Order: sequence, then C-alpha cells, then structure tokens
Amino acid sequence: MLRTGRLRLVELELLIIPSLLILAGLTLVVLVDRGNLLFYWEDVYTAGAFIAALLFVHLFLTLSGFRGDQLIFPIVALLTGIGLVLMQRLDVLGRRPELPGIAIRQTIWVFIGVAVLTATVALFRRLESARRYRYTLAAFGVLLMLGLVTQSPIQGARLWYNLGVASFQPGEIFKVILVLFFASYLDERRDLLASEYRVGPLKLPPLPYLAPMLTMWGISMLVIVFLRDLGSALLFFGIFLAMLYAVTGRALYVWTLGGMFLAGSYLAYQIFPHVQTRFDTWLYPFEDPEDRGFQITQSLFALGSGGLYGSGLGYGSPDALPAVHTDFVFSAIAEELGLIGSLAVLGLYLVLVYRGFFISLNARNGFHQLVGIGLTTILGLQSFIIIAGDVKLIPLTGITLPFVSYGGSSLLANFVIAGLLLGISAADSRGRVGRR
Amino acid sequence: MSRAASVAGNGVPGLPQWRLKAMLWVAAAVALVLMGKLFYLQVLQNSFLGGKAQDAHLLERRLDPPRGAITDRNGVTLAANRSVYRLTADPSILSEEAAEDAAAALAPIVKRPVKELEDKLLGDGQWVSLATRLTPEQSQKVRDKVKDLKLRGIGLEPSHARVYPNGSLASHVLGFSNYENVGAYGIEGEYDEYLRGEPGKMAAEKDPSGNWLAIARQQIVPPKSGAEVELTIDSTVQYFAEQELKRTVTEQSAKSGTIIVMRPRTGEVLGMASYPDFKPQEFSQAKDPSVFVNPAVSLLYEPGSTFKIITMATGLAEGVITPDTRINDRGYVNVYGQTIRNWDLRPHPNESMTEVLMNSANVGASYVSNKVGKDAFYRRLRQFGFGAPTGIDLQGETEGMLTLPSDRRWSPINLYTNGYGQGIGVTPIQLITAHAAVANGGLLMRPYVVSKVVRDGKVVRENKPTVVRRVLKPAVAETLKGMMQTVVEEGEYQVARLDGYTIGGKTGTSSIPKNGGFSEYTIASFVGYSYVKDPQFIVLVKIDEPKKSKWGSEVAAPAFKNLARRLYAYLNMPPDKNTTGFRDRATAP
Repeated sequence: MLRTGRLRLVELELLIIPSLLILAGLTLVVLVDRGNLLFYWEDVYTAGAFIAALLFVHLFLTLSGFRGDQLIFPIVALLTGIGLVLMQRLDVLGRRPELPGIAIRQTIWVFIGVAVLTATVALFRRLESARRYRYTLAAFGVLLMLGLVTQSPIQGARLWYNLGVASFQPGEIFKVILVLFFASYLDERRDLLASEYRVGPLKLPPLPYLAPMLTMWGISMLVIVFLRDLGSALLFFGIFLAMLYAVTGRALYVWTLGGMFLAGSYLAYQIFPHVQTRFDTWLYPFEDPEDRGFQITQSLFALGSGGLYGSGLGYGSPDALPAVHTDFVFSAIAEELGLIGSLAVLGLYLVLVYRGFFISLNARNGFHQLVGIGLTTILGLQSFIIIAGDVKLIPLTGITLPFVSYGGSSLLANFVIAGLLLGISAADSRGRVGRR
Repeated sequence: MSRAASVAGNGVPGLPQWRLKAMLWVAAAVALVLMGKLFYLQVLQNSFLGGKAQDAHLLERRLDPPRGAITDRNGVTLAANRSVYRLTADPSILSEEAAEDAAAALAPIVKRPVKELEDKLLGDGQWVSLATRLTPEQSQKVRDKVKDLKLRGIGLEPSHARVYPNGSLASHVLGFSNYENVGAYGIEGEYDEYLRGEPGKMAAEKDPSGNWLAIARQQIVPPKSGAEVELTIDSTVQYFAEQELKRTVTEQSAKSGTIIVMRPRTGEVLGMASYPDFKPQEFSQAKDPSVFVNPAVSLLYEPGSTFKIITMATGLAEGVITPDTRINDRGYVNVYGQTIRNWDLRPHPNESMTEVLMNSANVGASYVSNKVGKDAFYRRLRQFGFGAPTGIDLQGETEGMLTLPSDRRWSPINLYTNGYGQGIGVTPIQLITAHAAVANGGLLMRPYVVSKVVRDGKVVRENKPTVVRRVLKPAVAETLKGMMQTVVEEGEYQVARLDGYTIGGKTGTSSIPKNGGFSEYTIASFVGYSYVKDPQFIVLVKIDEPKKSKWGSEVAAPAFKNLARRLYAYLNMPPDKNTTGFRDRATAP
C-alpha cells in the first residue's frame, strides 16, 4: 500500500504536521498568556527539541533500513505534540498547585518515551523470548499489581507505587504484559479453544481451557474491589475479550463473558458503596453537583462552551476542570478547539486503531497478530473509556488518554506499544525485523 | 497483499481477515457514537451548557466587610463583630417541588416562616438571601440538612453580625446596625460611612448547586474592614449616669429621663444616658421604634428655672444688672393682661439678683429679660446656641424652638416668660452646652462624642475641642459662677450641696404644655458643675413626669448629688474647699 523503500518519505512528510503543530501551539500558548507579540527564543526551545526528537527517530528508522509502517509514528507524534501544547497551556495557567511544572516534566517524559520507542523497535527480536517465558512474565505482572495493596490510596484508589522522585503506575505496564501473555497463550491453544463440546443445547469450550477465562474475569473483579479502579478492570477485560474473539471467532464467548462482567459489576454496585457512587454520579450528576457530580458537570460545561470552533487556544478556562491534565484533557481540548478539534483528535485515534488492525492483519505469524490486536485494543479501548467518560456516555473512570494525558508511566507504556506495533509491521515470520 | 496475510508462514495459520475487519467495524461504530455525542454536546447543547458556563464564569459575589469596632475613651469595646452566616439560594435552578422541600426543611432551622422562604425560593434571579445572622451551629444544621436531603441550590456565605457586649449600655449613643449591617441612629448611623468598610468582590465560579468557588486568588478583592471609632464616652461614667437615672426614674415612677455628663472645657461628652433605653443587640424586639431616638439631642422641653442662669448671663453681659441689683418682688407681676407668678407665690421684697436665683423667682428673672430688652436678649440667646443645633456628632439632633420677635407667633409677653425658661423649647444637649459655656469662662464649645476614627492604625478623623464662639467675657462668667455657687451652698434647700466641693448649679421645674393648658406633671431638672473655679464636669439631670415630687430640687438635685459623689471618686477629684464639718470640728474644742 505505502511505498516501502529505504527512504521513508511518507513518514517524513507526515512529520511536518506535528512539527508545525508544536511550533505554532507552544508559541500561541505563551503569547496569549503574555498578552502581546513579544517573544523570546526560549519560547521555541521545547518545540525545537521535540522536532529534533522526531527527526532523530525518523533518521534512525531510515538509516537502520527499517521497512515497517510509516503512519504510526506521525500519528503518535501528533498526539504527543497536542499533549505537550496542552500541558504548556495548563502550566502557564498555573492556578492550581498541581499544574505548574507539568509542561517540563511531560516534555522530559516524552523524550524518554521517544528513546524507549526507538529501543523497542531495535530490540524487537527479543519479543520471542517473552513468548517463551510467558508464565514468568505473567507472574511478574500479577505480583506488581498485587503489591499495590500495600500502597496507600491516592484519591480513593491504589494505582501508584511511590518511588520518591516519581510515582509509578504498574497498571500501565501490566496491560502490555497482559497482551503478551494472552497472545502467547491463545496462539498456542487456539485450535483447542475453537473446538467445543455440547451440554444439551449449549456449545461449550473445553473445560480445562475455560479456567484462564474465569481467572481473567476474577482478576478484573478483584481490580474493581481492591484497587477501586473501574477503568483498568474494564480495559483488562476488554483486551481479553477482543483477543479471545480474534482467536476463536465466537461471539458467544464475547456475549457470555461480557454478560458476566456486567453481572459482576452490578454485584459490585450493590455491595460496594464506592462503585455505587461512581454509577450514581454518572446517571445523576446534578444530584450531588458540588461534590461527586462536580467533575462531570464541569466537563459538560467545558464541552458545551466550546461549541463548533472552540474558544481558541489559551482563551478557555480549563482550570475550572478538576484533574484537567489527566482525566479531562479531552474536555479541555474540546473547549478550546471546539467540535472540530475534538473530532480531529477522535479521528487520530481511529486512524491509529485502523493502522493497528491493519498491521495485525498483515503480521507474519499468529503471535504477532494477536499482540498487534491486543495492543491496538489497548489504545482504542483506553481512548474510548476516557473520552466516553468525559462526555458522560459511560461512567467516568480515572484512566489516561493515550499519548496526550500527563503522566510518565502512561506515556512510556504507550511508546512501548507504538514501538511494538512498528516492530510487528516490519517483522517477518520468524520475528526478525526485516532489512532490505 | 492483505489477502496473502490471512495465512502466515511458519506453518501457523493466521487469523481470518473478517474477524479483524469486524473488530474494526465495531471500533468505527463506537467512534461514530462518540462523534454523535460530541456533536450533541458541543453544537446542539452549546447554548444551554455554554450559557450555564458563562453564568458561572461571569457572576461576581459581594464579600461583606467586617464593621468597625466602637470603643469608649479607654478602649473598652462597646460594639464589635462576630462571625455569622448568610443563607442564600439560587432560585433559577430550583423546581417548584424542590423549593417547597427546601423551604420546609430550612425554615425551622433559621426560624422563619415556611411561606416566606418558599416565596423567596420561587422568585427570579440566581441569588437570593434567605436568612442572615445564622450562628455557626445553625449553619452546620443547614449543611447537614442539605446533605441529608440532597437539597440543591442552597448556599452559606460567611458574614459578620454586630455584637454589643454591654447590653443596653450607651444604647442611645451607639444606635445599632441592622441585619444588612447598615448603621442606624446614634454613632452607628452618624459614622456609618466610616464604620461600614468597603465590600470586597469575588469573581467566582458557581457550581450547579449555587455555591461559589473562588477559582483564583487574583480574582478576589478582599473587603476593607470598617474603621474603628473611639468615643469620648467613658463607659464607667456612662454606667454611673445610667444607674442613677434608672434609680431615680424608678423611684419617682417617672415617665422617662436623661442625664448628660460633659467636660465643660472641651465639650467632650463623658456620658449620655436616657431612659427607657434598649438593647442594640435586640433592636428588632423593640416594640416602638421611637425608643431608638436619642432624647438627649432630639427631645424638646421647656427648661424652666435652669434657664434663669442664661437670662442672668444676658443681664450681666449687657451690664443692666449686677449680682447686687435689687428689686422689689411682690410675688407676681401683671404684664399685657397676664399675671406672672413666682412658683411659691411668695413675695420677696428687696431681692438681690443672687437671691432671685436662690429663690428661683420668676418675677425676678422676667425683670432681667425685660431689662435687657428683646433685641439684646434674643441676640444673646442665639449666641448661646439656642434655636440652632449644637453640631454634636449624633444623628437626629433637633434645633430647638426659639421664637424670635420677628416671628408672627412672638408676642411681647414672651420676653417675660422666656426669662424664666417658659415658652422656649431646648434640647438637653443645648442647655448643658450653654451652661458649660458659663462654667468654662464664657466659651461655647461644640459638644462631641467621637474623639477619633482609626483605619488600619491611621487616624482618619479626629475631633478636637472646638470653640463655637465666645458668649461671655471671663469676668462676667466668673461673676455668674459665683452667684451659682451661692445658690447651691446657701440657697433655700441646699439640695445639691456636697461638703468639701465647690458646685455651681440650678434646679428647674417646668410645666408640661398640654392641650393649651398644662399637664398635672412636671419636668424636674438640675444643671450643675464642679469645681466652680476649674470645672471638671457638668451634669444635666432631667426627669420627665416624676410622681412622688414635682420639684427639680427634690427629684433631680439628689440624683445630681449622688452622681457627683461617684464622679469625684472616679475622676480623682479631691475636695477643693474646707468642709463645713471640718470647720465645725476645728472650732468645736
């Protein structure tokens, strides 16, 4: 489809867009805040560094003879650029104590992320070992998550390891591990899973292989109960369902397990008050608007006041939104850039998901295909969960908007995912990244 | 290219293409739903949500400033503030049902009728004050109720309420500040512009429940608290005066009364008591608002015999009499078809002017005013400040009633009756100020109750003793004072005499005009000062309609004596003359 030569012209051309975006965006944000046309060279340092980083990745891919996908990286760059502009915008606002300084921190994370992406592509061949040591990997991941119980909750949820200088959110890495494990496990057992036996009118998968599914369901429920993290549970379970469906092609599994998730959620709703508040807040945000409903009503106000064209970058009041730099980035974008901006961002994720599935479709082995599907599902589902939460389509959950939201763990995990997708797009059947 | 991918190499079959395509379709469908929702919120709901957001961002709220404190001359707090809450609501987001629920739930807590709250809650606008002066306990109850019943649109705003820690002390001087923290009557009314401070502004975001959240510190203009007002009033003197007044009024079953204590040399009011009084804190419980009016500065009365001092002053000043000028007082005199009589109806043959005062003879006094002549007499009265406000810094001062010869209502008989304080209306503050001018050696001072106004540690207004004009030459004043001292020490009743102290003073008893005639009751009064040479205080005691005795000498003079005794002690005034007792003892052996 795309020309795959030594020169990655498509990628280079597409990278012009994020380069211009960050240059214009950061300058605009600073100038609007300053109130006149005076500007300093310091204002464009960040933009320049970002553009340099993009060129570095591009040059690395070109020079290493990489012949993989040329769309993924420009899209990721564009989303990251939007994130950086937004962080700068919130930083100059600086009216809430958590906001000042986020721009520079996010910038640093982006540079680390770009390095991580490059490393992931370079070391893609090692992915095969992950396939072999899948149980070790899974155990590591589960331990990482279980360890969270020892941490003190932040805003009612235990999602972070406090490492002093920074906090680390293991859920972000866990979802990648989960995808690798599932991919390996399901790829090996796909024929068995696809077979069936009958109990009366019901077609059931072989019982021994049902166990992992139930385990997965159980883990999701535990995440809801103990970590109080509805979003992650939904994400983990969604990844599993998507991959299971891709392997077996049985809608019945999806319906059954989806139903079980809903039933479990309903049960949790009945039993646990915090789950109950989450749902009630979603259904009736104006019942308790000053406290629990405050976030979502503010988000709706922001979306509504944005209109078609938005207030303009720097002219909205995103500081009215609580957790604007993490949970409500999308609402902030929608307020200042309007429907046009919000649809554009949505479109970017859609293209990303399309590219992800396209790469999976063309992958040379089943494991790669499944990893691709899983990773793409992560990006797609995560974007959906938070955007839908922001617009009150589903209950709001604390989850990040990939590449845009503030947060180091999340950014790094997303760059790993992007790196893996790039690797898959270029790998041959033995998992080697091809060179020509 | 994509077809070939459906079966991958390495012997492992790839995933069927349609499954991935199906998943992609699902993703596309979900994205479509999101887009629809975004379109709905951002375009269709734009005016609704955006409008709401606009309101939230634009509205400003007033921040009530704390009202300035009022202290007495020694820094004793007479009026201060306490923290209270104002219960507010946003009627625009309340349905009829919600308003009724909220009214029913909140009415018992704020002790207002349900109907009243309901009407307010069903009104227009986005902000309405439901109740003020909620105590912290009440506001907590409101908060609990709001939480329990999930009431919407109810807010509590911190505010300030006036406290008067000393009950009714100096109530007429202080006045009060109402529920909107606006001063009324007295100092609170007169100095409101200083006391009230400047309200601050808070550009705030309003959450959907009508509460205000400051979104940024920069957008708060803090309220400027009101300036502190320091009075010339001494709360101890005030207390003595009020106690003495209340005791006298009660003992005499009198209708009302006033006592003023003043520094004659400066015009500073040390105490100003009137009875019945009120509690500024509970001003709303007063049955009749007329109780708030300060009789000391606004109530007119006929001064009666106390006025004879002024008459005598005009005579001395004009040089038409001396203390030793003698007249033949037959006890009555016929002028213009009317008969002027002495109060005791007795004749006083060969009566000196000092004796006129001692006997409090009407005939003698009218002789003087007539002798002075109408032009000089009224000119002098106006110089003494009669018929014009004294300019005291209290609300509601009246100018008195002095009918001048140029007035149609004036008749020649007025010159006679005015001489002994009838047919003229004065306020207590006018009379004591005029007497103070005699006591201090001839200077009419402007009386005042506020010594200074202090804002943020800086004096923004200071009242200093102000001479209005010289009304008597010092020598004339000294002569008159000597006469007054004699009146107290050697007069008929010596009712106000205190051993060891020089006191100048005069009693007064005046009839109360009623329906063209006179009431059976009187106004008994006494004006006195001490020391005679170097006056430290001057006191006016005025008792309206005493029932046990109608004479100033029996009602007001004893009250003066009691008060003076306590003032000597409190103001550290040693005796300034050998006491009779001492003399007696010295001569006894």
